[in-house]
Amino acid sequence: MFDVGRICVKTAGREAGKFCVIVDVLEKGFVMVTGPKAVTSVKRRKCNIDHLEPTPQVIKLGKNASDDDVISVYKKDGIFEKFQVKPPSEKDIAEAKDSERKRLTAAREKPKKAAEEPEKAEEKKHKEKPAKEQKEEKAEHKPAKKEPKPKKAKAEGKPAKEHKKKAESK
Amino acid sequence: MTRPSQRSRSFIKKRINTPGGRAVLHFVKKKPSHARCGRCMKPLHGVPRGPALEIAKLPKTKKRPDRPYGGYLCSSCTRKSIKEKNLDRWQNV
Repeated sequence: MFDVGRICVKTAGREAGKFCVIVDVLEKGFVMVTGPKAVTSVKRRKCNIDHLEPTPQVIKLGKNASDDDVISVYKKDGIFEKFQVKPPSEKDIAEAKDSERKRLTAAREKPKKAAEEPEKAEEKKHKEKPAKEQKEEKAEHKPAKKEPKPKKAKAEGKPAKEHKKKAESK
Repeated sequence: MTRPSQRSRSFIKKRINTPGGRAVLHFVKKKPSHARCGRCMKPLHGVPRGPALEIAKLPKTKKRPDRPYGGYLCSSCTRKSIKEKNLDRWQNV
């Protein structure tokens, strides 16, 4: 029942109620499935058979057929009209490809980042330590400097005002 | 003293010990009932329950499961309904 080329309806998850094609049969109970994304927004993904509902519709597909091939076969067999789905424009296809490319590149870059992180963390620690020491030193010096200043200001400021007042009064 | 309007059965009486050592009754509004499946009437998973104002503050993704009929039908009922629709369609053809 679940062979390559069988069109199914997904029954679980956010893609529930949307149709897709089986592209490959994997280990027991699992198949590779694609909408393609440009057509029904079902990504190319591994899927449990329990989450698929088969339809009597079967198309001729090679194993691991690309999304472009699937769309061309859909056009030939008139699948778009049968399932009442708009055939995708070139823009839709390009967008779907772009998002897939981004996803793949992100997956490739992740392990690299994980390797870089511990080094960065060590660098940060080194940077933080001297900064803290400097702050402590400053903190020690500051109160010593601060205390005399206000006293002087008060000592100088008040008499000056008094002098002025006196001068005005005179 | 609470307002007389709060002494109704739509408020829960909560006994609270104050920092001064007194025991006081607080009148708290009751929680609304569970959201239930429209088909089998089971309580729904993933739909929060609480005062409307608290729930309005939540993001949309925390208010219902991201699935067709999410927040209205339970997962098993959505599956059944999708399967039934699929069968109906191909029987007619």
